[in-house]
Amino acid sequence: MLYYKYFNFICANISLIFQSVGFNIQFASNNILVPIGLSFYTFQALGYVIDVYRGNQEVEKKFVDYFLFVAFFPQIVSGPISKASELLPHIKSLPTFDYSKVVQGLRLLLWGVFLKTVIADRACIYVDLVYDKYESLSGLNCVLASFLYTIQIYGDFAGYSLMAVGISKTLGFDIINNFKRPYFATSVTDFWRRWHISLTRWLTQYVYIGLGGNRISKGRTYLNIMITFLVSGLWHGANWTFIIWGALHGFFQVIEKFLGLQKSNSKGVVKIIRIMVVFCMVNFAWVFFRSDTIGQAGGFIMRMFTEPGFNTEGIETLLYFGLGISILFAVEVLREFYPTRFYKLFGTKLIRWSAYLFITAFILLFGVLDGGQFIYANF
Amino acid sequence: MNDMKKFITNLLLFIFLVVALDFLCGGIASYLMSHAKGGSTQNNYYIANKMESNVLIMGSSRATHHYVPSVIEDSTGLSCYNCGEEGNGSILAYGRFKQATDRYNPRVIIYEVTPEYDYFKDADNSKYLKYLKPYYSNSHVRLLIEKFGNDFDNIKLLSKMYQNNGLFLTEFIDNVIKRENNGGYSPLNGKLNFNTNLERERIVRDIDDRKIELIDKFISECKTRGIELLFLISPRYKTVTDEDYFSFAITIAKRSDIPVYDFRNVSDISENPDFFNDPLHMNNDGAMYFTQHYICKILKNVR
Repeated sequence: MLYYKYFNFICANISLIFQSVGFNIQFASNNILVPIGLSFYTFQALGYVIDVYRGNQEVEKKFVDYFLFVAFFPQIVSGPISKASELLPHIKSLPTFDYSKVVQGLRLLLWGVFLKTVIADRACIYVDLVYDKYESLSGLNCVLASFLYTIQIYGDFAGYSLMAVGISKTLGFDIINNFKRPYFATSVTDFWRRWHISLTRWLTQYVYIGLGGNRISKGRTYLNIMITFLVSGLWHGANWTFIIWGALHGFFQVIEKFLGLQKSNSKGVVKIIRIMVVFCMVNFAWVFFRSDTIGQAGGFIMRMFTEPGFNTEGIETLLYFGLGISILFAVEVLREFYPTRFYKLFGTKLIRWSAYLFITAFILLFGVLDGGQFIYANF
Repeated sequence: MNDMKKFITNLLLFIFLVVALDFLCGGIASYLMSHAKGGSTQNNYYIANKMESNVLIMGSSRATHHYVPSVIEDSTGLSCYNCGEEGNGSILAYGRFKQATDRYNPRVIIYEVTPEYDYFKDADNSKYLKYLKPYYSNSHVRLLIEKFGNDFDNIKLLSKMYQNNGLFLTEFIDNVIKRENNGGYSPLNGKLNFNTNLERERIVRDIDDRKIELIDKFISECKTRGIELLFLISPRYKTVTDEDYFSFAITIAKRSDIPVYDFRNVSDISENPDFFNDPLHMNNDGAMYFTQHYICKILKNVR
């Protein structure tokens, strides 16, 4: 992983350091294709090795079973990152046809396709349009694009994860669900309990706790949080923008812990305000994640706050996106705040089947179906 | 076994309901397309089913924003329709050409050349088929989709919903909101923003041989049908660098004996900032002037 993913980044930065002190040293870059899903299965395999070392997992003696665990096809490209204790037992037992699991799996697959094609890929059209020429567009266009990217990356990654979980379920395998309505988080700490749950779990167990977690001094705890999130940023990509993104999340959580805001029992208007504030903080950090360079991120953010007006380019895309996001918002609100009502509503066969048909029709009519890419496949 | 039976029964029922829904949505889409009050739905439907104008304008956004049919009609007495479309080139133009010539032969076709969309290589050509997909039942459209579409498009397009993918909302809006159709012409009303960088460099890219084949076919069919085909390069603002950008288009035209009119550098337009919405597109003032002073003269000579 170090070689495929970080070699060029490390060499470029060493060159910069040497150049800053007057030595012009250039390293040859490697132009080798990075194996897809490298970051995911590397962490999955590392997790297994560490668990065996710690005595939490028995050594798997059958190579085929181990290989299937590392290369389990639904999750190899973009996770979720499973623990050996979750997946190996399924691999070792022959799954039988389970009607309810298959139906649940197909349901998750359908919703995953909706998130990817109707939400993420539609948002992507507008986001790419604005990021490509933000210097000639207005601040409001940039604000909208940043909001749409926040939704795009959720739709893309959660969509993929749901498809992976859904396909696994139809085959009789239960793997961890990676998302739990992250944009309803009431703190950044809470956000990371809802976003990319398997990565948060991995970093907590193998980095944060390994450094001492929160069982030491407050200062050291804050440092551990920063290190963990710098690692998270670096894991996402070999670019300073990812590192800054990770650092921002670490910083937000340190501030929350310092002020005692990481946990929340707030209700009503206070809860809504907290959700909105956290959304804005996460939205801000995503600008760095999306940008190619720190300069572009800085320029984009400046434009958001300094350039008045609104350019109507891409308005049709926004309308299509608006349709999709309305459905997503309604479902997420129901599941988050009225779960009993949600399950009661969809307990009725007629409502369930109508929903399946409606979502299928929506995908065919409004989804972007000409072959998009998964963002997290790049990691 | 009972579970498996139940699953297969429900799956088949689901597929049946999806197919039924597909037919229903297809029927609704057909109604919306044929009853649109304006917008791209009405424009697309008119070109595919009703248009019988003597003069057709074809090409990209530089076609749709630069040629004013009403000016041509008033000046020459020839009926005119602008079939240009933003972000499109030879593929859509050929599709619309075939839809039109299923009914009649226009007298003149003015083709606004934009190499970017006409013959440069694209990673994905399916974006040019968006306005043709609802007309998949047309054999010429099917052939174009087979040639330039994605894998399995011929299977996916059996679905009426998929045929209207990305268009359904627009079709609905175009039935609710009446919008003026200026003979397919879409005026721009902005002015150049001198606070931004106005320089544009148009770079030559690799050529797609399949698109060249299509253009050659288009030329050949115009000749067979006795349609006067003209290649045009309309003005752009003087800050655009495009010396070699159109070379290949000019070569194609010359080898096929097609007249090429290159108005890139006509100083009364290209040096007048008041005529431009952005460096590559004239605004309504520029389009009116260009159509009156240049296009009408060409058409009068062609007559």
